[in-house]
Amino acid sequence: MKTIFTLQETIELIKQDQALMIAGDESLLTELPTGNWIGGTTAYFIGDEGGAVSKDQLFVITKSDNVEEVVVRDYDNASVQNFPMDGFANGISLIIIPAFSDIHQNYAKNVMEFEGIFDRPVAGWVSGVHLDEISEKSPKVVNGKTGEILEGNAVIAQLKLKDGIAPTMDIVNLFKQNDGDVITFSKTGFAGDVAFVNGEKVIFSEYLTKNEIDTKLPLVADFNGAMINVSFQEVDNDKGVVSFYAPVFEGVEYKIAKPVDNYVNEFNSEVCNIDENPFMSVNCILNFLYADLDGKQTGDIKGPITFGEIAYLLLNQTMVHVTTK
Amino acid sequence: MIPPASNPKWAQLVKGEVSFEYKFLALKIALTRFQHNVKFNNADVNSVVAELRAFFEKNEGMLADDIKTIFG
Repeated sequence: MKTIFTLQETIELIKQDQALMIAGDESLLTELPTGNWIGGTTAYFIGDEGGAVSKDQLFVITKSDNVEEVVVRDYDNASVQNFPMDGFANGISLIIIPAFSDIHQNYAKNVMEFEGIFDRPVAGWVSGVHLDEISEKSPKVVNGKTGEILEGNAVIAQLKLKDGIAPTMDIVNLFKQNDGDVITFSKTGFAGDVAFVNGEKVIFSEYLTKNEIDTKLPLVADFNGAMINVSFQEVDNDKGVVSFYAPVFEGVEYKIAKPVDNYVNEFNSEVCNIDENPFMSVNCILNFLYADLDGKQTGDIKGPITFGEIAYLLLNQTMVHVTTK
Repeated sequence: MIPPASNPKWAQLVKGEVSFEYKFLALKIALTRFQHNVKFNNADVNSVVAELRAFFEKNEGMLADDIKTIFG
């Protein structure tokens, strides 16, 4: 199915009420008409021709025939905890959150306590910008219903599925825990100075440097069989602070990931196991960069490349996919 | 058929005393949250069992394979 569209083609899709989720550069998103869609900024995609970086094309997830109704709205930092209660009994919540915002931090740290969060699949992504423009532009989301461009709110499309149709969401994470040290933290957060390695208190930045840890490899926690990554953003030895692209959680046991030999080959091997072609998937900017996915195909899986993936939780270096059948 | 709350497997699950290969992503994450609340927040085991069982009731269709795996 075609996923990459010009501005004019996307405008036509919106007019036909076919567009559901749109990813692209802010300059294009601002040109789109209102409609029943949500959008977010990114310059990176796995599109029809494989990995691509583009500011003049849009990635559009179109509405599946299995969707009966779509309700779009945005939530601010105080109200985002209520969004699961607004979903349909047989539905999916699609969400986009702007990176580096308060709501990004709030969602990531507290989502497991949102009432009703596990009542239906919650899938989405964190919007970003072209990495060359990271100091000039801020990530945005778009409420297609109102046309508002937002940098402090989350946009959510609540999908109601037709009777007899069920949603399935899962993740593909090539990273597994290594056999080494068990790392825990005493506080939940996107940054930390102290960690406990096999129970012993350490300055985490010193531990990473001394042990020559490759910080392109994420920390991995085992959530009852779901491998949940937290990627390293920066190790600041001067300040003694390590920052992450998702929060580490208090008390959760992490290990450094085992290296992945060939990301594209291993990814393609994993996605062969997915029964149906997903109608929506997202993958991580760090996988795109570290595995050099520009110009490369990842099976039949296409989607925006993002500053964080959401499958209930905020994830890093993970592919999220959703199917309906 | 979801077993009653008196089935000892429920308490074993939330206390992390038994573990299985689960299929449903929401179960893997929700169960981790429940276990965390018991282990670190001193949550009452019976209350957490009630929450977990309610989760199973709400998602019974999606949990068919996992119910078989856990309860036989």
